[in-house]
Amino acid sequence: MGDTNGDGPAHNGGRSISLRRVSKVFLPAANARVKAIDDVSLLVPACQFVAIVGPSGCGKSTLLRLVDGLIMPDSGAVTIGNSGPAPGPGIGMMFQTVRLIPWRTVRDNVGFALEGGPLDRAERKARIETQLLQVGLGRWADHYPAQLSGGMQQRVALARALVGRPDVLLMDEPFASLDAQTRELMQEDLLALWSNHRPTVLFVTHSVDEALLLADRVIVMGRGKVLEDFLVHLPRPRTTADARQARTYGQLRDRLWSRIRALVLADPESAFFGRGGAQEPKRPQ
Amino acid sequence: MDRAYGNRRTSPLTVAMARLGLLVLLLALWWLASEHVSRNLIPSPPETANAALRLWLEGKLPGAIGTSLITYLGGFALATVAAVPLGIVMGAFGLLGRTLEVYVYALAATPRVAFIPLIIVVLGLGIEAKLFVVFLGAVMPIVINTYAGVRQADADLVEMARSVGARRARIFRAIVLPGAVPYILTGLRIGATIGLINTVVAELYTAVTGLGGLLALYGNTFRMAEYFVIVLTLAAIGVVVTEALRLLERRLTHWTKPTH
Ligand SMILES: Nc1ncnc2c1ncn2[C@@H]1O[C@H](COP(=O)(O)OP(=O)(O)OP(=O)(O)O)[C@@H](O)[C@H]1O
Ligand SMILES: [Mg+2]
Repeated sequence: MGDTNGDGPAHNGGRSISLRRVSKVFLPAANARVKAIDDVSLLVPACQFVAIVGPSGCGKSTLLRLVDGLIMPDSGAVTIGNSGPAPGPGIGMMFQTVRLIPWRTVRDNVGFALEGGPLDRAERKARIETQLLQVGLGRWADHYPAQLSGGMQQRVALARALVGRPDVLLMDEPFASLDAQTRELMQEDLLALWSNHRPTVLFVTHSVDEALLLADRVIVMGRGKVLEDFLVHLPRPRTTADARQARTYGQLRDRLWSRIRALVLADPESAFFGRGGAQEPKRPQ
Repeated sequence: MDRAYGNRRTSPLTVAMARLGLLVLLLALWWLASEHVSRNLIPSPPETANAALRLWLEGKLPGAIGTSLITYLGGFALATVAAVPLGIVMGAFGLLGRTLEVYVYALAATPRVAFIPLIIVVLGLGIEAKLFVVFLGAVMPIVINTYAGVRQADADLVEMARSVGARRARIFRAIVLPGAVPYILTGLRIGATIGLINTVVAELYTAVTGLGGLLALYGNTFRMAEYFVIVLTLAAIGVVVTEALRLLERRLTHWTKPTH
C-alpha cells in the first residue's frame, strides 16, 4: 500500500474488490443472532463506481466495514486487489457520521489520515493544503469542527478520506444529511474527482436518484443479501439535469424503486409491512 | 458546556455582576442576622473585618494560611501525580482496571476519617500524616474520573482511527487520552474540594496547626469574629483553587466553543 500513499500519478486507478461467500453474524444480545451479511459474493472490477441501496438494517455499513478490514468475516474471503483488506490511507472511508476529532482543527483532522505514513512533514503539509483547497475548505483550516456547518464537516470527512490518495473509496451515505444544493455540488465534485483519480468506489445511499446519477452499477441489498445487481448505462459525464432527461433513466428508476419498495413492504420489522399487496422478495439469483 | 440548555449565552460581565449582587445581598443578610441574633454568636461584618486585619497584622493568619496551603497543595499534588497515571493505566489495560476498580470504589466509599487513627500510628502527628490524609481524600475521585474518561473513549472515533491505519498506541495517544481530559479535570476539581476538607480534618485530628488549628482554638473559646475570619479564609481558598481549575479546563477544552 506504500505506493498509494506516495506522490503517484494523478490517474492512480483503483483496485478490484472481491467478496467470496462472505458471511458476518452479530450476537447483539444473549440468544439473538443477526445475519448482517449472509453468504454474499460480489466482484467489483477496478475503477468501478458502485452504488449500494437497500432498506435500513440490511447490512450496507457492515459490508463497507468488511471491505475496509475493520471487521473480519465469519466465513468467506474479502480480497482487495490481490491482498486481504487492511485499513489504512489506501482505502478511504467516509462513515455514516462525520467522526471528526473535536479537539483538532480542520487541518489536523485531515492530517490524521497521513500520520504514521511514509510522507515527511513538508510533503504531508503540502498534501493537506491541496486537499483542503480541493474540497473548498482552504479558509477553514484553522477552525474546529464545532465551528463548522454540517455540510462543511462532511467536506472535512471527505478530505480526510481522500488525502491518502486511496484507490478504494468507501462512502456510507455521505451526503444524506446535506441540503439539496450542497448535495448536488458535492456530487459534482465527487464525480470530477472520480474521473481524475479513478478509485474503485462503494457508495451507500438511500436515494435512487443519487445512485443513478453517480454509479456505473447499482446493487440492491436486503436482509444481508445482494438481491439485485444491474449496470447503469447512462452516458458520462452526467449532471443531475441531463441524467434525468435520458429515457433509460426513467425505466431504471422505476425498476429500482419498485424493487426497494417491495423489500420494505415485505420486511416484518418495517412500519409499512404488508401494505399494498407486497410479495415476498424471494429471488435466489 | 455553557450552552447545554438552549443557546442563550450570558456574557461574563452579567455573571460577574450577578455574583457581586448576591455577595452584597448575603452581606446584608449577615449584617441583619448579627443585629438580631445574640451578639456573641454572630459577629457583624465590621467586627469580622477588624478581626481579620488584627490577625493578619499579628502574623497569625498569614502563618496559618502558609502552613495549611503546604499541607493542602502538597497532598493534592501527590494525589494528582499518583492518581492520573493510575487511572490511565487502569483504563488502558482492561484486566487491571476491572481487577482494581472494586477496591478503588470500596476505598472511595469508606469515610476517610476512619483511617486517621491508623495513619497516626504509622506516620505520627507531623506533616507526613497530614499530607497523607489530604492525599487519601483527593486521590480516589481523580483515579475514578480518569479511569472513567479513558474507558468512555468515543468508539466511533476509535474505529475511524483504525480505518486510517492507526495502531493501539497511536489511537491511545491521539483519541483516548485527549478525550479523557475533561473527565480528568472534573476529577481534579472534586479532589481539590475533598482535599481542602481533609486539610482541616488533618489539622484538627493530628498535631493542631494551620487554619484548622485556629478554627478549633477560636471555636472552643467562642471568639466568633476570629472564627468567622478563618471560615471565610477557607472558603476563599476553595474558591480560588476550583476557579483556577475551571480556568485550566476552559483552556484545555476551548475547542468546544461554537463561535470563533
Ligand atoms: N456491532 C454490531 N453489533 C451487533 N449488531 C450489529 C452490529 N453492527 C450491525 N449490527 C446489526 O447488523 C444489521 C446490519 O447493520 P448495518 O449497520 O450494516 O445496516 P445498514 O444497512 O447500514 O443500515 P442503515 O441504512 O440503517 O445504516 C442490523 O440488524 C444491525 O443491528
Ligand atoms: Mg448503515
